[in-house]
Amino acid sequence: MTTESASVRTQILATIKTWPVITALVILGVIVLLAILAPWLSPFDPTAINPASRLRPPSADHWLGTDAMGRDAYSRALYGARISLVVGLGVTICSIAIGIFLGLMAGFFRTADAIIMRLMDGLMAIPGILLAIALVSLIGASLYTVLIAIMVPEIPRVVRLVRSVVLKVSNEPYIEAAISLGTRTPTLLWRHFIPNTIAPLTVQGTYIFAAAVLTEATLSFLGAGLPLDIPSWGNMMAQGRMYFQIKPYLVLFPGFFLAVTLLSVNILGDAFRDALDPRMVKRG
Amino acid sequence: MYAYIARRLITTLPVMLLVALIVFFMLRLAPGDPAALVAGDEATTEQLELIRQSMGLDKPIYIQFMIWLGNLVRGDLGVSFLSGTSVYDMIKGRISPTLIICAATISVSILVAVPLGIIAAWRQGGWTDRGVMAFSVLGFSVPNFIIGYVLIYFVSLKLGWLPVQGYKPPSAGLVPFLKSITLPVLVLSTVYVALIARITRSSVIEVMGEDFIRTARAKGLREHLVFLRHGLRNAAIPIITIIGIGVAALIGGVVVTESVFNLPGLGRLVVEAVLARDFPVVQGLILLFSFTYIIINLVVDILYTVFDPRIRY
Amino acid sequence: MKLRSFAASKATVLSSALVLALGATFFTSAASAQTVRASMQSPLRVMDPIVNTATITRAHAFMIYDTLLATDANFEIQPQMAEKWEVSDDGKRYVFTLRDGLKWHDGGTVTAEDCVASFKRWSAADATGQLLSAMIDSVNVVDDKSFEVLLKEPTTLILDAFSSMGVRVNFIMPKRIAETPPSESIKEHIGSGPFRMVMDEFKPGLKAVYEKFADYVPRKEEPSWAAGGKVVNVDRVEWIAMPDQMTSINALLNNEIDYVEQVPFDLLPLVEGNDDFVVTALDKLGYWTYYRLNHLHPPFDNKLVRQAAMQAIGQESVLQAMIGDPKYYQTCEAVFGCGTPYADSYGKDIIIPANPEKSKELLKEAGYDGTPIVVMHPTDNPLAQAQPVVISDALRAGGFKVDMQTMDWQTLISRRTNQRPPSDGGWHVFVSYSAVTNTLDPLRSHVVAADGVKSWFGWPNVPETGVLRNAFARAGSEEERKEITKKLQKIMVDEVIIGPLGQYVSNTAYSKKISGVLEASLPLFWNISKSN
Repeated sequence: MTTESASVRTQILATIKTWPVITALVILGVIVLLAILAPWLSPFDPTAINPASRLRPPSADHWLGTDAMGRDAYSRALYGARISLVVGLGVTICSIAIGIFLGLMAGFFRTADAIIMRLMDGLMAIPGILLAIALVSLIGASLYTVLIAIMVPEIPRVVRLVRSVVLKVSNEPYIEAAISLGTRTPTLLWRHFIPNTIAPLTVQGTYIFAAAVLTEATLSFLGAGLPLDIPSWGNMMAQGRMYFQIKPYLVLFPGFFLAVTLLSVNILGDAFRDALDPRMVKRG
Repeated sequence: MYAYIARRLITTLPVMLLVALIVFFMLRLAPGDPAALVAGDEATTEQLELIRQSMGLDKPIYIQFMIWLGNLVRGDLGVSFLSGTSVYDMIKGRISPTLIICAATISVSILVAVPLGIIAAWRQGGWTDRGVMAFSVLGFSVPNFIIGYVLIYFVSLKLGWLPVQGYKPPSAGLVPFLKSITLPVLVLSTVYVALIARITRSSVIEVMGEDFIRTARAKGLREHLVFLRHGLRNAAIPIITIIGIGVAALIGGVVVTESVFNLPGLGRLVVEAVLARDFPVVQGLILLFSFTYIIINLVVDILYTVFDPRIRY
Repeated sequence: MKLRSFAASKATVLSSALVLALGATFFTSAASAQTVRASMQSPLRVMDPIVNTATITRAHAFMIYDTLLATDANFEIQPQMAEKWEVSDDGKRYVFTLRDGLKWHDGGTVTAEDCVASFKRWSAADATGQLLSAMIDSVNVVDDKSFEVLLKEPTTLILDAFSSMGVRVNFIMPKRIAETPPSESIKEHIGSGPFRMVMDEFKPGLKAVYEKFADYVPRKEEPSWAAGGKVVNVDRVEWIAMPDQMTSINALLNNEIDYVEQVPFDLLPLVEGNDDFVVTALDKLGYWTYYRLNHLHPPFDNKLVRQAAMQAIGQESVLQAMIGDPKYYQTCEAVFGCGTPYADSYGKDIIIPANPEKSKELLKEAGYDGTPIVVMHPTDNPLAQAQPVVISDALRAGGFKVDMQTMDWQTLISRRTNQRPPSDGGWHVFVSYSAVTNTLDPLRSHVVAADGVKSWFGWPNVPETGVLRNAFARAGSEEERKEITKKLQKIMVDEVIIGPLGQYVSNTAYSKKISGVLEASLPLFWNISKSN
């Protein structure tokens, strides 16, 4: 046992010590730090409007310029980091948690399979956008509404993925062996099924993170996103898109932060997956 | 197997009914008054009430649902609240651009992404791997409407190669048709390519580490045959799953693309209809979408059995 | 040998086919229809101009229908479908006679019966029409081409009814269509106007196509607003609805369309400097934006609190946020519009500047208890989304507590019908906008009536406005009317029946290939020519 975990640890460390991963970690660290320190780093209140000085280019007073309401783009970008990160993490964690549970049930128990998968089919049939607009109309636009609206369409995909892994692994000989040895279901789940889901789920998780942040931007584009005074990178880009050809910086700055963050998340996701996969360890 | 397919098809109906019910109630519970949009801004409360009655909106919700269901059974999807055109005609008039662009996107994405993922898996851990992955991931690090705007700005306005907007059906000529769908397909594929490339890569890596691959190599089989004959087949399952799931994700992308490029498709119709509370149109579209997803999921599940004979229903 | 000649002949066949094809395209393009492609401010879905008061529906109606009389650019009433009209000496009998050559799009001649039926449908739905109906004894067909209106009392309102450019215009429709009850939308779209709608190519919400109606007989006079000769110089007009504002400007710049009805203010720099395009405000009177308070529930049921709000809100910031460039807006305190016959400046110092200190004083006097003001904020209507943000900010500076609620436009227009308290699904403040021509007198303006719950949303209850409106309808002279509107301005400001936020013009952009675009309060497409 100890030698196994020691070699896994060294493997993880070895994967981490590569350049791309270090860069990604540093970038994410900086962004998280900026997000946490936003209240102290922002020169202005991100929701303070000043129509007399709207759409100004970057200057000494406003490092990233001002938006269509005269709000300071730099302060909004810092606070926007918080919201975008919360949206991404929140949706990812919740949808994976719920998805693993449902996927395991579906893959393991044939009767649950039929019910759960048909429910998931039904859920996927309602376009997420439609659900989001309807939810926003019913409950009103807020961070929670947007989180739920983005999360609900993501769950069926996680369920499907987990289920497909479960189906695949169920047919492996070592599972048959474990069952015939009398291994109980929870142990089976914990020791064999869940580890096999981690790799595809990590990759899927990074996708969900990116999709969540991007979907939030799309919802703002359609007018069904966060209330406009709460800044997020997504809705800054949606609001700024009309000025793209005359004041591109309104879109380019939040776009840059967004792209760099998502890129880093993805690189880390890949590295994490490589490090944890037992077969990766052998091959390395 | 056929029994399985039959069983799945039979369960389609209750699922669609359930979805229709949920959407029906959700629409009517959400605040928003279609009569107000028909009457216009300066109408009075009495005029609104009269219009509401003529639309049948004054009846209790469950009666409205029964009426809709009854018409549905007779093949009548109803009539749009706003324009009076039949829902069937509206869908018929707008379905082909969406279908064509989705089909083109899926094809292009698979053709580009699967090889990309394989190359990355082949050179795993090196700069090629990271490079290919970073490149494909760039596609979903930026919202697709921004990609659309950037492409329009450079390719249409500055270079003049492609039109800014609009859809030309194939009947208007092959070249104008292709020109009008190039940018929308490019924008839509970015997310799809990224998704498929990454799953392909991770799936291939996993499979190539398996014991039976080692055996095949030990048997003296050449590497590319090892890959094609043993590797790809087994890697296929998660790839197909993602393709199936990705089709569902297309609708979100299609809505934005149709808005940005002014394409007369269903994505735009569904958003406009929801924002305008045009209930009959929304309900008709939801029926169509739910049916499509169920069929696609069925096809994906059947394809599983093709690639992995151990999976049996 | 054989092969080569075959190949050669194949080449000749191919090259001659190419020449033919090229030649064909050249000839077909030269002979192809002259089409004006326009991107309009909203998609056309509802097409009944009596049921629906949207501007796009009215613009559509002017394409395919014609009116009996019409208003010209000098606000004077001119005959259009009418040859002439006669008034009896006591002013209680009007006889209208149609001119020759008026045909319906599906064949058939326009008769007096059609006019009478159309008038009845219009007057049942329109506010002025309803007022007028109370004064009418009967409307009778005299012969095929003329009809008479018998009044209980003399009034020139009947002429306004047939020529009005308000929110509901009295378009003449075939009798069978005009007999549709005014609460139902018409199903057929046949008119006698200069354009005919091509129903096969109509895609609701996407595209509307009109072609020149060959049998239309235009008047001989020069066109002026809705009056004069409506000569069509092109074969087709296509209205394309583009959901994305950026896209329509790009399409114009790239010559994929010829005309953009409303250019978003911030995007004007993209077209203005460009020599290939004309950018102009076709409607010089323009639009005004305003806020409406809910008089039914506290705290705005208290006049002092309403006045505090009016003091707190300043027009300049709102207009800057909404429009940006000062050359397109002006501050304006007149409830009937600046630059119109009934403009009045009472209340200028309360309405235009922001006086947060005065607002706080009034709130203290009124005993404002801190109830949060629910301001409705629509996200998907570009002309109504900036104002609520600035208003909320101004109200806060003036001592109010504000709860700005974000929603889509559909939710807003249905929520504002809700008369329950704001904490229970109601509201306190919403913002809207109208064309100045639609509100320039007390009869047309939907914001003047203050008859409690029977009025427009906000439901102010000031019976005197009703008395004054009736007096206006019966006034004998322009001086009398001006007296009345002066009184109305004072009442509307003192009671805060409406909160003017300023006036602005909207710009239209079109390619220089197009000429003859008329100045009017609506986009009109006759008189336009297109060069190749």
